[in-house]
Amino acid sequence: MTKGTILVVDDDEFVLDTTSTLLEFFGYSVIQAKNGIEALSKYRDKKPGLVFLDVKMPKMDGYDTFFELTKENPNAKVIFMTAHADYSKWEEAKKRQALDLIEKPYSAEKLKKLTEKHYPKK
Amino acid sequence: MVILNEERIPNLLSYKYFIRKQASKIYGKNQSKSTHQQNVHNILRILALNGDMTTWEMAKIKFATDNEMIRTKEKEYRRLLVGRVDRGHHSEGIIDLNLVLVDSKSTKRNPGNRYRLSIFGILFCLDSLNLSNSEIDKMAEKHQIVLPKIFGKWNFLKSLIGDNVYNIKLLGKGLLFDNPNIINVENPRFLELISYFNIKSNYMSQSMNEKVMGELIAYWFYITLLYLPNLQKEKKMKDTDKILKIIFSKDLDLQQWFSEFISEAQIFYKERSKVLEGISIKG
Repeated sequence: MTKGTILVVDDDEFVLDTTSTLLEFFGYSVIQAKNGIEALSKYRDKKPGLVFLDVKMPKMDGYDTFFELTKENPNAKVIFMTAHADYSKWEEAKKRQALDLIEKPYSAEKLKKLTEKHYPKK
Repeated sequence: MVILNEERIPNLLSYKYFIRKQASKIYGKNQSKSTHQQNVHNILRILALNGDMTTWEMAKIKFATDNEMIRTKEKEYRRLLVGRVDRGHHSEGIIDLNLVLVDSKSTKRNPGNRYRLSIFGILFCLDSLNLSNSEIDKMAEKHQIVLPKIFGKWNFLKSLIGDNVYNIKLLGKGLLFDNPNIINVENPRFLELISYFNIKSNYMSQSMNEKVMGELIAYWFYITLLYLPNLQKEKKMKDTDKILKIIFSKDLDLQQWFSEFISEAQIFYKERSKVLEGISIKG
């Protein structure tokens, strides 16, 4: 029995794997996506309670993925991750209820705190 | 009877970036597995929980007395283990991926190979079989010779650090040892030791066999105790070394072994520091 399902989206395989492993360690089950298009499809399919979404990705960047996602799911809970301090569309995302933007590398402690803070309570 | 493999085996990086990935790709990890993948997982689970076995003994677990069914299942298991040749093409078996090896020959009435999980097979099972804690206990009991400093001390460790022993599952995923920079690690002692561990394990690639790998995995296991338990606890331990002190104060052999590793790391960093002291870029 897990605490819930989280979608992690990152084109960097190592970050994707490490973040997923830590979230599993904290008791969540994790689904992974390597780009925005895959993320949208997996979100539709699994309806995760929380999404960790990388900003800079090929095909569709994190912000555009978020805007698409919130068209269908205005209440989607999304935390952005960036290694390049890309705040270009952050204000717009915040207006649409994006939860947070964290810079990589982040600590496992921070990941845990954010998840516990934002994962929807039953 | 378990006999350690003295032949050279791949290193931990190969496990993390090739063996684990290939095995996950071919044999699946999630619930939507094909029949072939389910059969492979069944074999791995049988070996994980029972230790070394012949294919006959493996098949007998499912069909205790029906010899006809045992014979059919046995053939299927052998095919999955060693692969098969169809029209001259060899399809790989679980052995080809270094997850299982031939441990010895059975000397019973029907002689045959005894198979067991390799050290990488143990890691892969911890990662992908979703073993319960009690199943990990059984696995530990059956694989004490392969991981003597972890599974050989399992009940002792459990009595001292409780469920923290099950963090060993994370080693199956290859977490942290070679790229702690991906996350911000706030425990500097952990960071330095795990970084040295990575350097040491790369140095030892040429002399890697199951015994050496067992030692390395043990270092990895104890180093991660400096970090992972604190990550799970609401109330953090201020003395991050405490969990190791608890263990090593009660087992002086382990203490001696790990102290030597720490000394090695200290010497290594001192020498590296001296190298950098010699750099002069001013004209």
